[in-house]
Amino acid sequence: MATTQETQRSEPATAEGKAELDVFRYIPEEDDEPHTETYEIETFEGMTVLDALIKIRDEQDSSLTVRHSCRMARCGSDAVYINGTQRLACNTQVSELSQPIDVEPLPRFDVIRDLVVEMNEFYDRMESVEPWFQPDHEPETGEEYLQSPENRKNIDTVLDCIWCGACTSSCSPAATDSDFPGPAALAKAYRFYKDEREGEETRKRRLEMLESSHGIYRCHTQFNCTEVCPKGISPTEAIMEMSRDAVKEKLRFWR
Amino acid sequence: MSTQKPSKTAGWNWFLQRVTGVGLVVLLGFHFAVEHFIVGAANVTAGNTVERITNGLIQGDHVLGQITINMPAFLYQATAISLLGFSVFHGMYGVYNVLMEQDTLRAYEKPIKYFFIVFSAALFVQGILIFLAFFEPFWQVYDPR
Amino acid sequence: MSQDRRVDSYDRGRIEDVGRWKDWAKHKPGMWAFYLHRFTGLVLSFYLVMHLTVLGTGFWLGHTEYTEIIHGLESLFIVKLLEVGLFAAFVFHALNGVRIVMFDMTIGLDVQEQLFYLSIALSFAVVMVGVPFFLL
Ligand code: FES
Repeated sequence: MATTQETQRSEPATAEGKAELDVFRYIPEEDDEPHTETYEIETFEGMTVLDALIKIRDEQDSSLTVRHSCRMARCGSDAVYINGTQRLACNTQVSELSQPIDVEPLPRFDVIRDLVVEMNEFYDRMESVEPWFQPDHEPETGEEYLQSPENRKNIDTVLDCIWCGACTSSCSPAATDSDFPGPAALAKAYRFYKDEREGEETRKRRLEMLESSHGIYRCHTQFNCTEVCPKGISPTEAIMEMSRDAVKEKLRFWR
Repeated sequence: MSTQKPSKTAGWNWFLQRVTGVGLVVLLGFHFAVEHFIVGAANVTAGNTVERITNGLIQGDHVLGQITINMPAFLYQATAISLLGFSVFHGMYGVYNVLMEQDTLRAYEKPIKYFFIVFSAALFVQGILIFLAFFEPFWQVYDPR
Repeated sequence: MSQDRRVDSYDRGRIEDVGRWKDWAKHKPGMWAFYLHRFTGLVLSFYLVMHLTVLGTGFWLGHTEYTEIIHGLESLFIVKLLEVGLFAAFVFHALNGVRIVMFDMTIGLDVQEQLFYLSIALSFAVVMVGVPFFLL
């Protein structure tokens, strides 16, 4: 029984054995320039890249710094650049990667130390779309802000965002245009834009706020954000829907 | 970050970029078909260009053999002028946006914008002058012989 | 934003911004579509300017000179080859442009990769059909 299950999951041969990791290292107090260090570790079945990094830190080099917390793809603090793609270290199996595994901090963010990047810029972008609930009218006293299940369906996926920054790191217009909120922030804006409890006024205002050539119209449909999102969100789709609505709003006869 | 300025024109420009884009698929396709597929680039002369523009008479003997299409002159002229306008807008707005995507160039946003407006206008005027040059009253101006 | 930059953080520079060319093999179809669309767009814009300049100058010189300029250019094989390139740029830009307009109307977003491959395949087919018209 156990063997059939094993084959069904088609565990690669490297499930247990050795793995080689090329890790980006930069300690501002010691290094002028970043460099790459190679570590070899013993792997175990189900080992994630985060496990591997922690193992390196525990057993080989205690100065290696990586930000992490939940280890279950929930907090979004350990997005790194693994083998040329933005991924969550805790959500990536060592066994499914080609060796040596290249681990770098998120591209286009400033590096504070090793794999830890400065996220303030990202949080500023998130804040620029006012990601908080702003209803037109307060409900009658004692009532709750009730959302209809149908309306909730629209934002099911975008609500899963964990602010890891992978998508914004993968988006080239976000990198070259600092006024562009980037995919994560625009998906967040979509979450409120679609929430009918906010009312028509706020919806209009939100759309106007985003409508600029450095806003929703800056998206080039590269789909990088959709590809890298560990939560399966498609910011591209959200942005396209908002820009479509914004233009529709202009062409009233179209509706 | 919160310096995002809402823009009245951005949406329209974006929309126009799409409209001209779709228009250009047809217009530029037509232009290629006429100049390269029916007439053949090597067979283009001032004479048969004048025929096309003033009479809408597309005549060619290229790979496909002898082809003659007689369009209403105004229709051919309309495609020519809209091809000019669409391509200048689509091309120049596109390049302008490629530049404006770079933070380093944002400091020169105003001058770049005015440069592109003036440059596009100049291109359009140039195109109109070329267009007019195909009509008889203007021949003398360009070609004194 | 840059004022928030920590003094001791390592700024990896603008090369990071443009694209991770080091990892070009990892780029996904959507990104390649963007690169190609932008490249062909810039090529076509550049050609538009040259086209209007050359033809305009040709006309200002006179009808005979206009015909001579065209024949002079067309007698060069390299010009013909470049014209095939121009045609290819146009066809891809047009087909991928249709793909992008579809996305703007939120059509086909989940089949974007297939649409990209389709636009590549169609461009290739159309350009192959066009080659004899340009080279003969
Ligand atoms: S550690 Fe929390 S998402 Fe990976």
